[in-house]
Amino acid sequence: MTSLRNQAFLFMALGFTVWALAFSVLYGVQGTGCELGWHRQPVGPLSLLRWLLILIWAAHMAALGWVYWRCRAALAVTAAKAMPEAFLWRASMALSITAAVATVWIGLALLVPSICVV
Amino acid sequence: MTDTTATDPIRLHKQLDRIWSTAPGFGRLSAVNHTIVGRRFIVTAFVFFGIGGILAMLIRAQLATPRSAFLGPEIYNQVFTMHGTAMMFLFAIPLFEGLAMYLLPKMLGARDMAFPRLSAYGYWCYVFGGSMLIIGLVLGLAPDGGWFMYTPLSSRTYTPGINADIWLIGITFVEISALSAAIEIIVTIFKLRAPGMSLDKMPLFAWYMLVTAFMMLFGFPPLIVGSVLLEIERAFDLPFFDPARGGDPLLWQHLFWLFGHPEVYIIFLPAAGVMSTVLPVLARREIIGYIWIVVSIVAMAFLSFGLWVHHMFTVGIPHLALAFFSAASTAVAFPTAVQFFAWIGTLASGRPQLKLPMLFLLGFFFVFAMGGLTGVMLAIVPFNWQVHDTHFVVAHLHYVLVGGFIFPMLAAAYYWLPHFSGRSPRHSLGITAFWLIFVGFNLTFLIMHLTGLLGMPRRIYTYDDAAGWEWLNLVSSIGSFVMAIGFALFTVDIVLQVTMGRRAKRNPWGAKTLEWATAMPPPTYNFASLPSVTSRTPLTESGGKSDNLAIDLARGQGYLGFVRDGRLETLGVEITSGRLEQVVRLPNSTFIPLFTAMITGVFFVSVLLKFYLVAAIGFVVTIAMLLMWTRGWGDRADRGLMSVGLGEEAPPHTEVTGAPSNWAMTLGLFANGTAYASLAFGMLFLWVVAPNWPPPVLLDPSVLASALAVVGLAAAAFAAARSVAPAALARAPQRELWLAVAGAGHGAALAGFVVLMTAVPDPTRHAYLAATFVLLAYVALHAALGVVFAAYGIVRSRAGYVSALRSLDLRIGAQWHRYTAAIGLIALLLIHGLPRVMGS
Ligand code: HEM
Ligand SMILES: [Cu+2]
Repeated sequence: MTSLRNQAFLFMALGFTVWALAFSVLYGVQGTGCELGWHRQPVGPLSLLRWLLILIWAAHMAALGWVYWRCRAALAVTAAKAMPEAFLWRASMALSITAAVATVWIGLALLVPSICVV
Repeated sequence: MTDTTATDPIRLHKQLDRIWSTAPGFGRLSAVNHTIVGRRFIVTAFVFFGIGGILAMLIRAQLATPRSAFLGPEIYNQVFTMHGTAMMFLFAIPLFEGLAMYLLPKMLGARDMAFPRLSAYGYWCYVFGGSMLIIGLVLGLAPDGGWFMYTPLSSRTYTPGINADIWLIGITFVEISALSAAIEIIVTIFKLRAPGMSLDKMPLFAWYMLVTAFMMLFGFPPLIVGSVLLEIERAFDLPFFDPARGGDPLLWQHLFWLFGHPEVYIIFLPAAGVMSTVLPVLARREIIGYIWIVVSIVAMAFLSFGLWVHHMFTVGIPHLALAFFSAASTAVAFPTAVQFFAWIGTLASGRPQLKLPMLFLLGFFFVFAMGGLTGVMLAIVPFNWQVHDTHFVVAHLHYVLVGGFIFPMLAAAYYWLPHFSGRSPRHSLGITAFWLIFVGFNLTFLIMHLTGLLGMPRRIYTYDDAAGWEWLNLVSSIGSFVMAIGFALFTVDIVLQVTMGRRAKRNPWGAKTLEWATAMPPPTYNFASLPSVTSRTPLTESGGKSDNLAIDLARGQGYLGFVRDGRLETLGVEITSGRLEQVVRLPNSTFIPLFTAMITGVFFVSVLLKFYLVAAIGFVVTIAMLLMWTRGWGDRADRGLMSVGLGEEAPPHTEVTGAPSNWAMTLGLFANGTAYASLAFGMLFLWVVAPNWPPPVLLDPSVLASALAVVGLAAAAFAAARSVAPAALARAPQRELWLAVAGAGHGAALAGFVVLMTAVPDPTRHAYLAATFVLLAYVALHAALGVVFAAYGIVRSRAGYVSALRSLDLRIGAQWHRYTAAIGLIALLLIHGLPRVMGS
């Protein structure tokens, strides 16, 4: 119970923190990979760098899924008891969905044909 | 206990006013009260707006005709740089800080901000830092490299004089006030609310300010780090931005825009908060979509940190990264749109009144929407490449800033002026002022889209007859003078209203938020007793005998409707639920913030003039003075539960875990950690991206010194944790022993770091050496402060301020000790690890 109270505020920031992580890690790995030539190492149909980026993206999407389910469960409990925390859980849930949409949106960038062309 | 309960409102007022008021005459300089300091921030910000505005007029006068000989290029560069700098740093940010300081406690049902002395200190830092810049301008030494100070233009080679230093040092000085305000706003919103005001019942303005303050907390540190690094490069030749020695000008651009784009939203969100507050009142209905607004401002805050590279689309960044940032830049339009729809929906379904503030709100809609549209255009990379650095960008940024900030703030001025002054207007000059500003603005800036598309670059001091922009520029300049007359009229109107207006009746707009439950102008203590809140519209409810909340509160029928032990008291609540948690004691007026800011000024000015010995002394004295703030502050005996009225009880803040000052340290460390991360990012960035790497020499740091540092840090962290364990807290000798161990641990770590620093060969040779040196200096400074804080804990314990119940001082210290251990270890990891991973 206390955890549902104390974590509510944290979860408001969590969804988009995952988004921000996805963003920074993708950006960082992309830069580093280009520098180290990972885009020239083919692995199956795609380059090593592209596989890596897709993997990172997918991992963050999965994390967002988890955040969403956590919020949903906590919302169910707190709303049933009419606790003031229900508001925060509801907002957090909406934020996790929004963050997922934003992650999909920036993920579209991975379809760019040339990863390292300046 | 000496409860003096008074139900006679006049007597209660006198009792409260005696302890909350500020002395007249020179005593005014000692003010810490949020109403006074907030007002000062606002007035000072408008003074800087006047200065920035005059500079804007100089710009437009110069550009009105081709080949104008009015300002030469040197002066023109200073003028546009100072215009941008003053508007962004000395006007926009301090203005909303002042508004927040003035309003938040009143809206939340508290008697002051959480740290009144910090507000005053921030204010003086702002005034002194801003004055440095203005003095520079008067002496003709103002910064001239543009408001974003790109290197290498701002490096020593191309700006040999003091101009750039004035910017770097003056702005960093001002940023102290931004960071302190951020911490203070967050803690106030978290903790100092009326009981019952859970987060979902908070006025939207507070949500906006909460998010804004968090953005400031994470946005400003990169700028401060960038400024410090650039100043170090300029003063001591440590190369961070010089590509010949492993630096990279792009590092500056990253650090600057990592701050700079969020900055735009930091300015916009408080203005949007004004929209969401004023608009429903004038539309006579509650705002639509409260939760959606909260969601969208949080989303907006995060997204805005993922956009910074859109200012760098033309510097040569891989397509994929461009696509990321372009995507994020377009995405941020959605949360903006959500708020727009909430506002329009509220207007459409309410019964709007076309009062004066509403006129400015409508002005906002029109102007900001235009700015948003050109913003989306600029987020598209190919278009951006076309108009980069042209007057199209100037037009866009003014539509966003003037539309998204000035118009709402003028609405706020008219809306809350009766509250500030207790007076309402006799004349309607405001309407004329609005139309002059609105028409003048569009005349000035609509045309700049065209001159920009026609290829007129920004920041040029003149142009040729043949360019084909002559009459466009002339019209634009005429427009800007129309707008200037509008602002002058606005100023006159405000002055007239404050001095000669009619006495305003209470709550003239029929608002439902708590700030209108105070008398007008508000008394020093805001509320004679604090309300208990049960809904988002507290003014429509009433807990007392009459049906008027304001009167009930004035009669002392809420919480804390009495004076206890001559102390200034307000209530603290649990963050989320708003349940009553603690009685927070607040300080009254003192000169210490002013003196501390003066000494801080000595530090900054000595750095500017390169008197480094004086600077070092100034720094030490500043720290000493900051510690002195706590002298005589705290409780020497446990007080236990205290009555707060209405039959409820709460402990004093010194005896709870969630005391405001404990939160302040946590938040301060967040900001500090962001600065540290920026530094580490800088080092990695250079290593990966900058030319002329790997460096000529790789360090082989001493294992012995490193081991000493590791052991010291570990000991400090461990001992700090032990010192706040219940067993140690109960026994003075034991907790003091642990504190001594923590101090000694920091001492050992400091020694280790210093040895490592001295082993760095000539840091001016390469960015690798310079970055390593600065990283070590950063953690060494933290260890040194760790020694001081540990010793200070012992002093406090000896003086009787610590007990098993009263552990606040030590817990604050323990946070520092743990944090220092963490960043120290990370530094060692980087210094040992990076050469191994990246070296070959
Ligand atoms: C009051 C009417 C204003 C006028 C007539 C005006 C005019 C101008 C002009 C013509 C420039 C371009 C100078 C150049 O590139 O050569 C400029 C730049 C700028 N303005 Fe304004 N401005 C006004 C208000 C504001 C406000 C309220 C803000 C911010 C809150 C602001 C922020 C800036 C910034 C950041 C720049 C860029 C400076 C640089 O290039 O370094 N301006 N302004
Ligand atoms: Cu931007």
